[in-house]
Amino acid sequence: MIRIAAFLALLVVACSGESCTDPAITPSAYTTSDAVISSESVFIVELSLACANGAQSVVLYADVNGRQFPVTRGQDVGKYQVSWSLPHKQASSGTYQVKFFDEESYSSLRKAQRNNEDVNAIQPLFSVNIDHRGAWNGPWVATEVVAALMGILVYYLAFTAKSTIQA
Amino acid sequence: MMKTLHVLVVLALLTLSSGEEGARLLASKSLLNRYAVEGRDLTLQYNIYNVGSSAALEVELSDDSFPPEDFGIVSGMLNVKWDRIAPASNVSHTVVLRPLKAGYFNFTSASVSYLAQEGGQVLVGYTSAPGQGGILAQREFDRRFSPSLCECALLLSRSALPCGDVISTSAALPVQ
Repeated sequence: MIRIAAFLALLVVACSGESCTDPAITPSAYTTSDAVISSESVFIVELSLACANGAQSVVLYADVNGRQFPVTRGQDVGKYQVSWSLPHKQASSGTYQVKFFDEESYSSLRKAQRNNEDVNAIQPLFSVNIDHRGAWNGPWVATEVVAALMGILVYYLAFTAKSTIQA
Repeated sequence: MMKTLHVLVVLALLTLSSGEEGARLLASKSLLNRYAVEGRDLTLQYNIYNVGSSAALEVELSDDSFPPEDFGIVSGMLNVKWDRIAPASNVSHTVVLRPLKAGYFNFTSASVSYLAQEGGQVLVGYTSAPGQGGILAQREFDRRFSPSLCECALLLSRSALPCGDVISTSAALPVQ
């Protein structure tokens, strides 16, 4: 019974979206760069998608390092956005590959995940690489501390100089 | 007496279960910032949870609470939609803005509209509101948090010039 229901649900899902052939994309990405004022690192990928077959309401899913997200659609036709957030410590700098799947390839991805098969074998519709330079955490040592240490050093040097002169 | 009580309980259960039919969305809007600073990135996150028994369809989130003269958009869209949000799942959406003015700002809620079931009525709800928050002026923030390298260099030059003069170095110190 559950299987039939799942199959029907899948059928409904598969019918609702259009498929996209030869996707042409223009992506733009944003990642958090300042960890002093923000409490988490966020990643935003915005893209405009144009399909050769003129499909407009394409349902997309994104996969980043094994985590899947439904792709958000904008008000304008062909505008999509994926965003996720991580704690600063987990958001290591480097290149993140965002793979985009349509309904069909997404369901086969989920199936492969359930059956513990190789998920890398499933070809995404397209993928986007984004660079995260890491978020700046502010200076390692507060300037006041550096200044105080320098002051103490200078004071010490002056004091020793003074005592050698007076001796 | 006992019987009427029973009937009442059954009735209450029935209304509860009929009320839970279809999708039910809970939405939150939150700021992912420790400080809101004029001219620096301000991150907003929207989370939508479907706590209902079926998928929510044609979910639209729109936030018109940021006047364009006070906020610029760095990345992300303020009006978005999802075709469906499965039951017992959630979606999140992030937008990065840049406050153009310092001062207090009341962060109000965004609106969410969706269909609880196929062919049903459009339901409109609101996200939670982060509430009133202060946006720091750029200069105020720099004074508190930026590494004051210029001042440090100034201090160094002042303390280095009168070589061995203990009084002037110690007098220069409390400036920082």
